Amino acid sequence: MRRTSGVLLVIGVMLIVGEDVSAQPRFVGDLRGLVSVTGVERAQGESIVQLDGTLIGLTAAFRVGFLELGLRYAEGSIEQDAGGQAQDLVMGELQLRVQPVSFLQVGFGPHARSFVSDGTERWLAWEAEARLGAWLIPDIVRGTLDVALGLGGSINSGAEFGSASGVAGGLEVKVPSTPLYVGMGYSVDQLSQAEDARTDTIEQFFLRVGIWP
Amino acid sequence: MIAFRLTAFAAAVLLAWPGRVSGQAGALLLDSGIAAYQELDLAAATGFLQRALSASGDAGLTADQRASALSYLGAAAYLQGSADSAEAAYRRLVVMDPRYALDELLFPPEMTALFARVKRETKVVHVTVPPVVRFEAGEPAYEPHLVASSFHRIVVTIDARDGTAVRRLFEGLIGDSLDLEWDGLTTQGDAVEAGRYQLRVESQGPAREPLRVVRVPLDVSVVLPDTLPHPEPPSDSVLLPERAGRGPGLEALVGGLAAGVGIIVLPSLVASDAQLSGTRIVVGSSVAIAGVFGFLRNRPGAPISANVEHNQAVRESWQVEVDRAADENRRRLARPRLVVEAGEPSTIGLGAP
Repeated sequence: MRRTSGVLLVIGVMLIVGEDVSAQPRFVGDLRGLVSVTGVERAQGESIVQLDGTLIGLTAAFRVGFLELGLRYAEGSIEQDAGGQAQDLVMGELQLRVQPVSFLQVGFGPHARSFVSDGTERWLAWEAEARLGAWLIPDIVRGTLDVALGLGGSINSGAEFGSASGVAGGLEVKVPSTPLYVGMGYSVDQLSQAEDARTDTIEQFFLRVGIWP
Repeated sequence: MIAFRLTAFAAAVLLAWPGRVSGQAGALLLDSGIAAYQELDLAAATGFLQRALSASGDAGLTADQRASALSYLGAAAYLQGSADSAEAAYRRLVVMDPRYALDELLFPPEMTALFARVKRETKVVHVTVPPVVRFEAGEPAYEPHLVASSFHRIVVTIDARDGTAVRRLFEGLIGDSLDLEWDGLTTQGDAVEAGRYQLRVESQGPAREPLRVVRVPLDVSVVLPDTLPHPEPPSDSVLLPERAGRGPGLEALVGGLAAGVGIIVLPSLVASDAQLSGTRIVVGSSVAIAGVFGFLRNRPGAPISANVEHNQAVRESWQVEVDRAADENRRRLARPRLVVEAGEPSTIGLGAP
C-alpha cells in the first residue's frame, strides 16, 4: 500500500514536470501513467503456477534529436488463483534508443524484474529492442509494436540465467482539444533459467494515460 | 497753435509733393487732421483726415490710426452740420471694428449717441481666424471667432471657389460674439478636396435680406496619410494538404496490419510453451482494424477535413486582416490631414446701411 502511494506521488510529480519538459522546443519529454492487468505463468518442471494481479506504474521518455532515453517502472501484487501466497512484482527498465527512420526505434538497456515475497528474486536482463510505430489516423491514432530480445542477464538467487524475450503492442489515441492521450496494449515477456529449469511468462493488458509529447 | 501750424505746414508740403507719399505721411496727416479738429478748423481737418485715410502702402495707417481718423472725421462732419457724412464715417468705423466705442472724454454725448445709433443699425460681423491650422478631417479643429456690431441674423458657410456652399456652419442670430467649429468635412461628410475656399459670413436684415458679407479666403491643402500594406496571402508552407496523398493511407494500412498481426502472432513465438490469453487477439485486432479504418479515412485523394478546416481558418484569418487593413486605409483616406491657411478678410456691403 505504501509502495502504491509512493508510485502515485511520483506519477503526479512527473506529470507536472513532464508538461514543462514537453514545452521545450529541442528537448522533448513525454510521460505516461499505466495500469496493467498482469498474469504470470511460472513453469518449473511439471509444475505450472498461475499468479494474477494488477500493476501500476509509469513510463517516461526524454528525447533530444534522434536520441531517446526511456524509463519504465511498474509494481504490484500478484497471487495465485487458489488463494496462495501473494508476492510483489516489480519491473523496471532503462533504454537508450535511437530513431534511424520515422517508423522505427532501436534501443538497448537493462530490464529488471523482481519477485518479492520472503526474499527478493531479481532477474536482470540486457535487452535489445526494436519498436515500430505508425500513424493509423494522422496525429490522432498511433499503433506500435515492440520486440525485445535479451542478450544476457543474471539472477540474484544463484540460478543461471537462460533467456529473455518480449513482445508488446497497442494503440494510442490523442484526446481531442487536450494535451492528453490514452492508450491500450498487450505485452508478453518470457524469462527462462538455463536449460529451462524454470520459465516465467508475464502477460499484461495495460491502459495508459499520458501527455502528448 | 504754433505746433498746429508746423504740423500743417509739413502736411501741406507732403500733400504738394509729387508722386508717392512716403513712410510716415499717413500718420502725419492724421496728426494734422486731429490738430486742425482741435483748432476747430474743420474743413482742414476733414481734408487731412480724408487724405490720411486714402494713404496706402507704407504710408497707410494702422488699424488703430484708421479708427482714430474715422472717429475724428465723423466728429468734424457732425460739427459742420453734415449728419449724413458723420454717419457714413461712423458706419465705416463700425464695419472696420464692430466693437469700437467713441471716447466719451474726447467727444460730446450727442456724437457718442449718434455713433451708438449707427452701430446699432449697422449689421456687420468681424471674423477672426487663425492664420494656419493643421488638423485631421473630422476633428472640429478649425475655429472662427465672430464678433457682431449688433444683434442680427447671420449665415456662415464654407464656399467653394464657384460660390457653392460646401458646408453650412451656422444660421441664426448673433448677439455679441460667436465661436464656431469646422471639421474640414462637406455637408455629405466627406473631407474637402484641396483648393481655394472661402469662409463666408452673411449679415441679414429683419426680412433675411443680405446686408453685408465678410469673406475670408481659405487655402486648403490635403496631406494624405500613409496607408497600410495588405497582408500577403497565406503561403503554401502555412497551408496543409487538403487531400490525402499516398503516404498516410499506406502507413495506416501497412502499419496497422503489421502491428496487429505482430501482436497476435509474435507472442506465440516468444512464449510458445505458455498458455496465453486471448487478450492479444483483441488488442491486435483493434490495431489492425484501426489501420484499415485509417486507410479508408486517408485513402489517396480523400479530403482531409481537419486540414480543410485548418486552411479555411487560415484563409479566413488572412481575409480578416485584409479587410481590417482595407477598413483602416479607408478610414485614413477619409480623414486626411488638412492644412488651412487663411487670407485677409474682406467686407462687402450689399447696399444696406
